[in-house]
Amino acid sequence: MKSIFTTLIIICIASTAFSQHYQVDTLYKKGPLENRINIVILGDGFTQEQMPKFAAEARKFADFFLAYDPYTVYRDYFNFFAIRTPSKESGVSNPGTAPDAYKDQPVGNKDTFFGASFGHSIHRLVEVTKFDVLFNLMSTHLPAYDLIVVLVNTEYYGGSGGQIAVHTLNDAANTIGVHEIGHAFGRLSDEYWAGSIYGTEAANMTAISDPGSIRWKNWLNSPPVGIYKHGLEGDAAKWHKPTNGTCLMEYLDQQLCAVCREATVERLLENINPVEKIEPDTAASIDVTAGQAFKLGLLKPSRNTLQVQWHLNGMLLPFSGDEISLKGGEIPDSSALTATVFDTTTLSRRDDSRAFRSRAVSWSLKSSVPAVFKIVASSDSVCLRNEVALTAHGCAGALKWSTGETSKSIHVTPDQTTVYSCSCQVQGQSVKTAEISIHIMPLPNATATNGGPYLAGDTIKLAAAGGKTYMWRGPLFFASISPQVSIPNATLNQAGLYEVVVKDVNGCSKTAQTEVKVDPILSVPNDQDVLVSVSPNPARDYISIETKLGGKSNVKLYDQAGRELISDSFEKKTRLPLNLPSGIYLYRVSNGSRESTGKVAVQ
Amino acid sequence: MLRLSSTVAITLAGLLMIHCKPAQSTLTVGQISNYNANSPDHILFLNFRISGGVGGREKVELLSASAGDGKMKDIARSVHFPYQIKAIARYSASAVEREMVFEHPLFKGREVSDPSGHMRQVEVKATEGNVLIRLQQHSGLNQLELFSVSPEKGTVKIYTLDFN
Ligand SMILES: [Zn+2]
Repeated sequence: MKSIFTTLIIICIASTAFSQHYQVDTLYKKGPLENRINIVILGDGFTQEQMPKFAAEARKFADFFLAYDPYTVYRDYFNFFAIRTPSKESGVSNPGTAPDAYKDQPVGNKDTFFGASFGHSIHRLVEVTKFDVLFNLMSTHLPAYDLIVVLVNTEYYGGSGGQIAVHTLNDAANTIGVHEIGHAFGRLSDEYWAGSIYGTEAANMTAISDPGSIRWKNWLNSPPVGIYKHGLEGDAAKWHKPTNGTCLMEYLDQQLCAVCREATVERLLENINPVEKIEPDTAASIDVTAGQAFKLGLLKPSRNTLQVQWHLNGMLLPFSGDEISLKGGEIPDSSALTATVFDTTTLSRRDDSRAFRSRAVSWSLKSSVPAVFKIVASSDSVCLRNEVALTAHGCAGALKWSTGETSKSIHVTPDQTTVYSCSCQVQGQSVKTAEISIHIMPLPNATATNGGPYLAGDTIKLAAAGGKTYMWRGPLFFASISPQVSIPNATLNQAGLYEVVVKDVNGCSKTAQTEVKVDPILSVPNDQDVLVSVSPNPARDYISIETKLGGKSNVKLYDQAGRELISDSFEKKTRLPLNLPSGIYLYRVSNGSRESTGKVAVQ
Repeated sequence: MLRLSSTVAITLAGLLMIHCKPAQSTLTVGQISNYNANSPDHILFLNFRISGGVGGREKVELLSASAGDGKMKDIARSVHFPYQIKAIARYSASAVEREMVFEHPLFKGREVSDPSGHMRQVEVKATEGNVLIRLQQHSGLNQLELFSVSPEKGTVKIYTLDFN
């Protein structure tokens, strides 16, 4: 009995299959569906004649979404499709029964593909009513979709969020779609208080408010991120959000906040593998006897933050980039090569992100080069203080390095050119020894100076020497690659530490620093009291001299006959002991080209 | 065309509900429409009509089932509204038993906004609606159970779909 009904069910279910096929527009196809987030845009209330309008609106939304931060950085991680489903009638149903119904909007039902309608009791709540039609369409046209946005053909504002995002063509409505994708894809909570039942732990909502352990603790030093209560009383006071009024998850006219961007990027990197192509295939052992290139096809963000690290037998190789070539003779048989790809994006500050979302590709290598005992260095010529990795190849016995270590690979940081040796003892055979010389190149004799101290308005002059190329960094985003630099019209906030990386012909570099002082021009520059103060006056057994000018100042004290009695050089302030007969003396304080003179009485 | 066959389906399903055990039916996966035996990955689309009420009073009908090729990602909006339909796929072997939570079509939350950018959640009630379940088919799938979740009645099983 039951089987008959089962059969009947199957027959009638089969008959509901969506037989018609609609045109699928590929708006942006950046890669295979499995390794992209696939957003499908549907249209309701567009007639056959209005299909070009729908296609244009769909592209407009896709472009709006892809310009949004952080999606814009990862725009190649998305595919966008639009399915052209024509409606019998143009527009959208409007029951006109809600108290907030728009007075100028015509009331009436429209026969549309997905049956979108303004709300019966809340007008702006525009929803699709024919969910089964939508579902059947997706099953036959794009079953592996990830997110759906339905555009409703009316300029009146409205939309809704749930499993799918729905909104009208009103200019203010397209952020509804982006906000809803924030919920569905980024698993973000609302940052407005939506009610107690929506209180939940999420990337941007938590009951834990301790700054040391709150979910967004790594962003607390980046305003406007903070710890804000959802409300002052009740359940709202128990829940916290990272921003207050400045996030798309709170107001539709805002951007996603840093914490929501981080959660979105983490979801993207969890779902999308940046390693799209691997050459050669990793399935079989690769014979490297004659040398071999290894290559990754990477899906790069628009700011390429992907970092590739290559390891041979667990040892970091001094190469980065998507491709590496290994020379046959350097690879011992049964070696393993691993490439690790990690997105260093600063959009996420997640702890341990390297451990969580590094993607590794491993090849097993074989070589028929006869085992000759030798040492291979990651580099045989390096700048001082750089590390070199040494690996012993071709030893089937016990190793002993001149450093005392016994592992297959060692790391050394020689402070001068050094010869390293390693012995290989195979039982029953004589000890073999191999040597390698690591040449150390000295660092450049880098210097940095400036012609200060300066007064506001002066030209700051920086000079560096000792290398071939120079890279300056300094206050107020100062940067330059010239050895001699002039910065006219100095301001007070250009004072500070200037740093220059000096690189020589060998590529060795050293950093030098110079501190630039800039002092304000006082409002009455010729008023000597402002420049220099001498106290006490009259003085007894000492005088104190103070100036607001920066840099070195000199003071000289003369008797009335013009004989120099005391001379001192100081910065800002000095105290001179006096051992002089009572009388009137002259002082002269100089600083650069400035000079101030006066009389001091000694009692 | 589509509307006509849907009506037939509802009617037939309705008849079956009356005569047979209403809360149970059986599907042969290989015979689901558009099931492509040559494809390695299948996504099942199951469309259930829900009516009658919440908290275990739901009447459930399987309206349609179809299949598509491909792999689904784990991207779905989580449901926080306390009235829910929960679905659990059961497998004969060791495959992961996955719990999926859907909004209850008869009582759900909806986000509504205004042109100034303010939003709020509102409650939306209905007398009937659909639960649309998209499910990656793993081998050994032999049952899908539906539960009604509500604060008053907790979790109540309302439907079982057997696969063979
Ligand atoms: Zn929201």
